[in-house]
Amino acid sequence: MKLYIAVGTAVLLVMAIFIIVFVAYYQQKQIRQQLILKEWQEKYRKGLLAATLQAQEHERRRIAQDLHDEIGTMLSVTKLSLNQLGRTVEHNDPGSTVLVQKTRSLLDETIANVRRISRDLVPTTLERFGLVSALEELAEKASNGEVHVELSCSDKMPTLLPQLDLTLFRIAQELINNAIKHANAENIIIDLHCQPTGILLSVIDDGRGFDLDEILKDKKRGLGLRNIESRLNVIDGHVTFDVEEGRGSRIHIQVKNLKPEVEVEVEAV
Amino acid sequence: MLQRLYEIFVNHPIDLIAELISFLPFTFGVSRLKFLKKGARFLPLYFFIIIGRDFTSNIYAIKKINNLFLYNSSAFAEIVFVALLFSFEIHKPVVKRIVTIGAAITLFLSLFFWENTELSAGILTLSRAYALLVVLVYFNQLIQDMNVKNILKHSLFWISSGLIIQFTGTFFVYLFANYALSSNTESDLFNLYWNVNQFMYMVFCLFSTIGFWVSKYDKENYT
Ligand SMILES: Nc1ncnc2c1ncn2[C@@H]1O[C@H](COP(=O)(O)OP(=O)(O)OP(=O)(O)O)[C@@H](O)[C@H]1O
Ligand SMILES: [Mg+2]
Repeated sequence: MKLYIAVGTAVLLVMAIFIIVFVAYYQQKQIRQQLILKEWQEKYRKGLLAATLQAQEHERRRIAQDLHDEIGTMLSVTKLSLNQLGRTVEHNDPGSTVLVQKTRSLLDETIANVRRISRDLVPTTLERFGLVSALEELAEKASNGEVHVELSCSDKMPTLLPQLDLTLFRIAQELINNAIKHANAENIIIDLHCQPTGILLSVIDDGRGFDLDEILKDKKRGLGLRNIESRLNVIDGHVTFDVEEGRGSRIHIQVKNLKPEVEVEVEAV
Repeated sequence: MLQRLYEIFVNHPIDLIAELISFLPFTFGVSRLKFLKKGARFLPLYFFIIIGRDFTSNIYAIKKINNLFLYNSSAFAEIVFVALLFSFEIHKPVVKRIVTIGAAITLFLSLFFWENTELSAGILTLSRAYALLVVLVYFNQLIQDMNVKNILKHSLFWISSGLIIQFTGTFFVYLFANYALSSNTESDLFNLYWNVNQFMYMVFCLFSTIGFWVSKYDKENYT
């Protein structure tokens, strides 16, 4: 009897301990695999997003180039032949000269527009002179009689990765657009600062503000704010909306000034 | 009277340790009460009942009254608390119902094995078998759900482990209680088996204490 009890107890105990160890081991192993899988999916999603954004930039560049090189050239040639036509008309039919002049000024305007659009599509200043100059240019262009856009930034801005530059520039562009389009703002301040933790970009307007929750609920809303979020997602950035109806909006963007994890390897097609 | 108590504990030091060690999970359980999940909140009460049982049994021992029925009745408490502890944790409705109905059936069957003056092999084995099954069901759920990040910080894992160690360690002793833990057993043998029982209980207390200790991580420990 004694033996039965001893052996029985020993066997049961060993089984119990085996079960406990097995549960703990199996659970930990599975959960680690799950976490790895999740991490991998997240990385993949980010990569996809980054590729999409880059494809978008490439497409813009291509359109800008086509506009400039093809339409622009064609327009210049058209202007040349119009000039020739003008000279012939002057001799034969002086009455039509006014019409020719009018056509010429329309053509000039179109040429100027094509150049402006193709330049706006690609942030040339950003690529050549960096973020601060690009934002300065943006502020200058946006300012007119009704709105005043001002850039305030710390003296020493480090050179950022091109991807980071572009992201911040596009976000600033959208935020300023929004402030002009929706807020009826008079003054807009772009604030760019380098902190030990990263780069802080704020766009502050004195317009009518909005209710963020309402906007987020709206299924038919624009793409602007959503695009900001996906752009930031790629570089692990954060956006904080300090907004409320009835007062100016303050929107803060924070990004780490590190080499981003996601290296975009998609080349122009 | 104290003289008598002193004698008892000098002769059975392990009993003294086992009785004192109940305070450990009890205090930890009470101090962590706000972190504990619904089912586990009853566990400190269980330890309190055990403390009360041991206190009463000491008094009976001093007065030389047979106190074994106290251990039979605490097995009933065990069934109830195991059911409470796990029925809140198990989320499949069918399994949940099996656990509660199982508890009812076990309690009912145990009534037939009631003994006043002896440890009842029937009651004690039934309660252990029931608890073992419930713990295994819970472990099975744990493996299927895979929603605990770090199992070593999961309070119910420690408590369950303590439970199955205690119950497997004492299962056979109780199964043959008529031989091993009856009034006819020679006292050396009785003490040996009784000490095994107490030792397994201490393991359970320690594991429960760890369980209560890690309960503060429980909230963030789910995926
Ligand atoms: N600075 C702001 N002041 C007031 N309202 C704003 C401001 N920024 C955004 N909003 C509100 O938030 C809404 C969503 O903005 P969002 O940029 O996402 O879309 P949109 O500007 O309407 O369209 P899109 O940017 O796609 O051209 C806007 O319709 C507007 O009502
Ligand atoms: Mg917009």
